[in-house]
Amino acid sequence: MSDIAIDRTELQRLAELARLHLPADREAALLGQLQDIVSAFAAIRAIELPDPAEPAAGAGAAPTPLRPDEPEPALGPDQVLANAPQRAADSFVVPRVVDA
Amino acid sequence: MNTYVTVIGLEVHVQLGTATKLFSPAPADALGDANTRVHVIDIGLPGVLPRLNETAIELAVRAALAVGGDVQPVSIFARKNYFYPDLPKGYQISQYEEPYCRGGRVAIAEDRFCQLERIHLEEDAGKLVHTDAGTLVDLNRAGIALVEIVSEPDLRSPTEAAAFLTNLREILRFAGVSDCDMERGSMRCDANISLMPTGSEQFGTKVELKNLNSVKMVQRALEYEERRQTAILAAGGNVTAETRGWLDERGESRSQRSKENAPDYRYFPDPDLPPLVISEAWVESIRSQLGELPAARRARFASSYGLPEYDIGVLTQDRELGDYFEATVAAGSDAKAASNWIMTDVLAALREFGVPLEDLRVTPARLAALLELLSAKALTAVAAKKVFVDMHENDREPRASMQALGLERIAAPAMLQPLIDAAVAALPGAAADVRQGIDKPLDALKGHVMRATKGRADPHVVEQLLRTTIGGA
Repeated sequence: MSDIAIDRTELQRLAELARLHLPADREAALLGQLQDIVSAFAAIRAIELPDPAEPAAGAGAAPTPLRPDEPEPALGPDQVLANAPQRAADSFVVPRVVDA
Repeated sequence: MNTYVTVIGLEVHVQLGTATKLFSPAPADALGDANTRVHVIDIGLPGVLPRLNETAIELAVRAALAVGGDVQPVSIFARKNYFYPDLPKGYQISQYEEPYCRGGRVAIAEDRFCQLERIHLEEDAGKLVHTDAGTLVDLNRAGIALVEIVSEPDLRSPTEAAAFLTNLREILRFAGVSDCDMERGSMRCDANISLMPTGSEQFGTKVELKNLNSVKMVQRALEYEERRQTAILAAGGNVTAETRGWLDERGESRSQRSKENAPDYRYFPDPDLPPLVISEAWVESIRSQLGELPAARRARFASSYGLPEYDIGVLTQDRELGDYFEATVAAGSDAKAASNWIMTDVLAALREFGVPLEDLRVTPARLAALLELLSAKALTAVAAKKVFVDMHENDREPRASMQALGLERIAAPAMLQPLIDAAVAALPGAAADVRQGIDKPLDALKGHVMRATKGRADPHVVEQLLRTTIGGA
């Protein structure tokens, strides 16, 4: 997997997926940074582990804690909607979206 | 022989019957006004951490065990990233590479099963309402605990898909996992369907169907899609890989998204949630509370009580009704008599009074006592039905109801004879016919006596007395 190459097309695709506006004059700098990050992972992969079958996550780590199924008060709609750019009654309003 | 073989796989979302959401303590009833069931965790405010609901895991394990799945000792929550207003965090917490359950199966016919690929846990998204003024977002549903049950592509017809869903729903209701109400959205289904030439082992291009809100709708949509794909293939064309939405009122589906636009979710393990560990001891303790599943109960009802298949179908439709039946029999009632009453009067009373079975004041012990009075001929069948209603309405024992209503059966000839005489006097024509050996008018005479006694007279004694009184051929 150390062969993940980040080219300009991949960078633009990621920006689109993340809904980021990427000015053309910043592409080269970001491309360089992303390539550095990906090659850092390649370096990590090169480390030889005693037992590669053992998953890193959870090895010795505590499992996710569980909470009893007891309701706590919810926020009021006014709090939920405090940062809403637009609201109608107690709903958020966003530009009309329909499945493309 | 058909030219093509239909291949269907289902993805079923089931809402777990928890009091709170999967990762937040907000109430999970999802009722009420918009945005009144929302916790800071649900809207992904900075600094919050998801806290996993123990009961959700227990119910998910119940679901897994009920379908014979393999509960995984360690599973991982992953982020499924996409931008859509129903998802305030920008990602849905789901399970991807390491689901909590693998395998399992659901019966689709006698000796035929559909294997399951996996079951995973995930949180629900919010509700969107599209209006001309924009899209309204209600986050009450966002974060509610779901399991997604993914079948193998083992189903070979729309009928099998319907059988799969019906049986799965029955099993999950029995196991107490969910109410599985498709109309209300606590069970939802997406279907994948493709066709391949008969004899081929290579699956054709599949189409995903969405917006299927009932078992019948799933079947209709798949039947439509089967015809649509057959027509395309028969004309030498190619099926397009796409997602299609079912429009039930039009009886057709419409393309929503082609595969080229398939979303890229960039799943990765959620750094906020360490692995979910489900110990073997926990699984076993849940297994021990699971109780009997529908297929086993049906077999037992047939062998232990000798009930007809129809009765068994009704009595095993949910766990509570079958328990009620067994408690009635345990209280001394004859099995078939109890079954008859439960299938008619008990179910009718639940509908009429609008109460769940647990709130019916005719308890199994009281029903058994009522049936005993009936078999001892202390009251007539007509009167027993009145007593039954009174027992619930006034919360009393059958004998108390019977006495309060004055519905004890009248069988003493001395009490009935004056009424018999009155009936014969009132309907002389009918009496004359009976005397000539025509039996039909006897019913009118009996009816006269029954009305006079408000249904309390013993019909056999009445008939006997009528015949003796009228005499003749």
